[in-house]
Amino acid sequence: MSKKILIIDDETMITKSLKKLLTKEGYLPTIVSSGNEALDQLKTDNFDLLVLDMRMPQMDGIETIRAIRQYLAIEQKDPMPEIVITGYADENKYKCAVDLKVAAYIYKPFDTKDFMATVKKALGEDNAAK
Amino acid sequence: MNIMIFYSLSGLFSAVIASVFGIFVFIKKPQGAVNRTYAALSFWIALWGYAYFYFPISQNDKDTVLLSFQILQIGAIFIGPAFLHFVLSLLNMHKEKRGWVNLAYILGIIFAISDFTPFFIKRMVPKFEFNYWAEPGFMYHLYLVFWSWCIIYPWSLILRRYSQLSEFKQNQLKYVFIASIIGFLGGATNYPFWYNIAIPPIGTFLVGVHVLILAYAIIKYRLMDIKVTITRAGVFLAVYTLVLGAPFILSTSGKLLLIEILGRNWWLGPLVLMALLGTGGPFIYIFLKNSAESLILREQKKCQKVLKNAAVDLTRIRNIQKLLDFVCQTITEAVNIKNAAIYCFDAKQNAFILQSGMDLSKKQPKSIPCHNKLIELMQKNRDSLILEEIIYNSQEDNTSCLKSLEIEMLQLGAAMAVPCFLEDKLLDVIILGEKKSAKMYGQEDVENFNILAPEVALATENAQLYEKIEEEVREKTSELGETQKQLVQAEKLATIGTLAGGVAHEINNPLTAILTNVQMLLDSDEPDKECLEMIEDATKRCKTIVQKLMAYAKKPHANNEELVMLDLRQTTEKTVSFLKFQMDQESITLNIKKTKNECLIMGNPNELEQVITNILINAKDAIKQIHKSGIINVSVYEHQSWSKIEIQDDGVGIAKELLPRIFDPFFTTKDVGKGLGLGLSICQSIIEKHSGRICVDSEINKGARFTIWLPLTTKVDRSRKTV
Repeated sequence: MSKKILIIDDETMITKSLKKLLTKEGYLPTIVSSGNEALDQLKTDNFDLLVLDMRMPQMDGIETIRAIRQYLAIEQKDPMPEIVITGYADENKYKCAVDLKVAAYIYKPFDTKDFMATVKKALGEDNAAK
Repeated sequence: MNIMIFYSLSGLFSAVIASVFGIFVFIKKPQGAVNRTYAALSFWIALWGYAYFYFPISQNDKDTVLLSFQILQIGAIFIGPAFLHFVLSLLNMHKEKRGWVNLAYILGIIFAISDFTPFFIKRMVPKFEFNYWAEPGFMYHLYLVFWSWCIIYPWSLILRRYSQLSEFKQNQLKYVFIASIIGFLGGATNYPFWYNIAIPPIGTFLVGVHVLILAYAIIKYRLMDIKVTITRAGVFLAVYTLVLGAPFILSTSGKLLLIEILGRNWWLGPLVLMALLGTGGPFIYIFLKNSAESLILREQKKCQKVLKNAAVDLTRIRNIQKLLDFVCQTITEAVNIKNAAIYCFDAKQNAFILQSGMDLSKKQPKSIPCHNKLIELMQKNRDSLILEEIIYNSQEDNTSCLKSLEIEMLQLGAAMAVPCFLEDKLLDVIILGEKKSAKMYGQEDVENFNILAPEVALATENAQLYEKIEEEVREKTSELGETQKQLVQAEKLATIGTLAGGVAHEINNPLTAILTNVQMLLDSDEPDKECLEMIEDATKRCKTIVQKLMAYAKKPHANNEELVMLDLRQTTEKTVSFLKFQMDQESITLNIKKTKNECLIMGNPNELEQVITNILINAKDAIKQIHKSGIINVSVYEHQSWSKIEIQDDGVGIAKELLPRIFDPFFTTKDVGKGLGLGLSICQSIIEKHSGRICVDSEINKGARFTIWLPLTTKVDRSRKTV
């Protein structure tokens, strides 16, 4: 069964591209444009992986991760790995992400192969693939 | 009887004047040949005068009159050789013509001896109103020849040498010549009676006048203030002639009248008069003296006043050149001289450099070296030098030192040189040319310049210090300017750093889209239209970003400070649109409200964009300190002759006590490393450079409103290029 991935980004050209890529790779991506939308989405759906942008209006990436983790904990649902994508190097945000022990922290623009490798690793598929 | 008293007093007058001035001139310079010979001449005149005083009032006693006559004749005999000696000294010929002088004195002695024999005065006989007058012996006739020679010979020497002498000497000899004509003609009025010619000896007092004029000629100007002295002596003589003479006349001429009124106690009359005059005398003397002095010193006092006023003004002038020019001009006008110059000490060149001048010749030396005689003498004596005095002294004392001093003064065009001392330092030398009136410099001028000189020194010192400080301030300001430029650059880089984050994020998004889609296409064998469309969109987005960036970073007037005409609405809008994306990312709503009318101002677009960017980024940071999201409202509108930009945020605000400091350089509330604290300071300096102003209105936790006023251009300026 295909793994479900939630993509959170306010930038449509990113979400559209990633959706196409992940679909091609055999995953089931869902797109939302903000942290709040993601929380709404989680009420009705479960996901295996979170791919989100660091810099977003209202809730940024870190806040979104915290909110989702908190929600999952309250709902007693399994936590899921998070891949944070960022457009520029912000030391503070990076540290926050490390502290939150996110699965990966990658910089735009990224190579699709590297991105897919990261996705697979986060989903624990890398070993299985081998 | 009255005429006798007149004769007597005219003798006394000459005697007193001769004694006073003889002693005075001698004391002034005992070693000088002129002063000594003048003193000798005065002595013989005084002897003659005192004896003359006695004989008219002792007319009843034949022996006394004879003795008086013999004594006054001794005086008269030696007046001749003394006059010859005096004139030769004045002409500096006394050594060369020593033989003649000696001969004259020897002849004088012979005549003096014969004076006590009947060969000179045969006998005493009544003549005209005199009970006794001398009858001449044959020696007396010879004496007259001798006396005439003693006068005519010096006169001829004066006339012969006159044209070869200096102006000063010529003036001096002019006085001597005129004085001796007056004196000897006056004295000669005594001779006709000897030969029974009915011309009375009315000119005796002129001998005293002659002594006065001679004294004036010798000691004129510098050695003592002759005008004042003569005035004082004149007033003294007049007052005491009254005090002593009036009781004397009363006791002689008025004796019979007094006996009629007072009987045996007639002497009480003169005594009371003497007491009254004796008491009032000093007061009359002081009053007359003061009135006379203020009259003759009027010109000097006027000059003094001008120089004193100038001394006050001096301290107000800070520029050294203006100061020295002012001094030169004031002196030239106050003293009415042909030319003036000021030389100031320069430590580097160890010389006095010509700094200012009025009507100087082309040959005027540009500097005076410190080892110069003139400077050395001034340093030593701390006194002004007068050219005529130097010339006079160099004739008296023919040393090379005075000669070279004379040459130096002439080269400098100096009739007088005034040293300006500040404590022990000789700072300036004022050179004064000849007076337009051709008068010589005198004691009064020295006194006047003694007042001005230290003021000039003080003012030059002050002005020099002031200029030095100004120079230092200029240097420091220029250094500061350089540092400021570097700091401004650093602050700009810091702003760029902040902006770079936004730009990077914005451009990395389309790049990610491009890369992802390209790689998907590369991995697939079939063309995918959707991928290509996404690539196209992303590429267009990149283009837009780059265009915006270029528009922001564009520096059409990068290297100059020139202001161009611009519409403040456009400038503000451009900046706002550039920052809008970044603000959106940070959950900040950036609103802009513009007036419909154009806001034309003269400005530097880059700098104004820098100001708006800076304030907007500050606003964003202020919001972020307390909220996750916020609003920044920007409005541009016209208000009277100003165009205004208001930037209002709902951020943390600024505490009241910090408000006055926020435009100070290096003032920051941000964390270390987040900014130099120069942003607002630079904004302020940019706005002030645009003749505008910037202010802030804020309360803690209630946001802040920055307002910028920039002057609208006038309609005339609107014809210029718009940016």
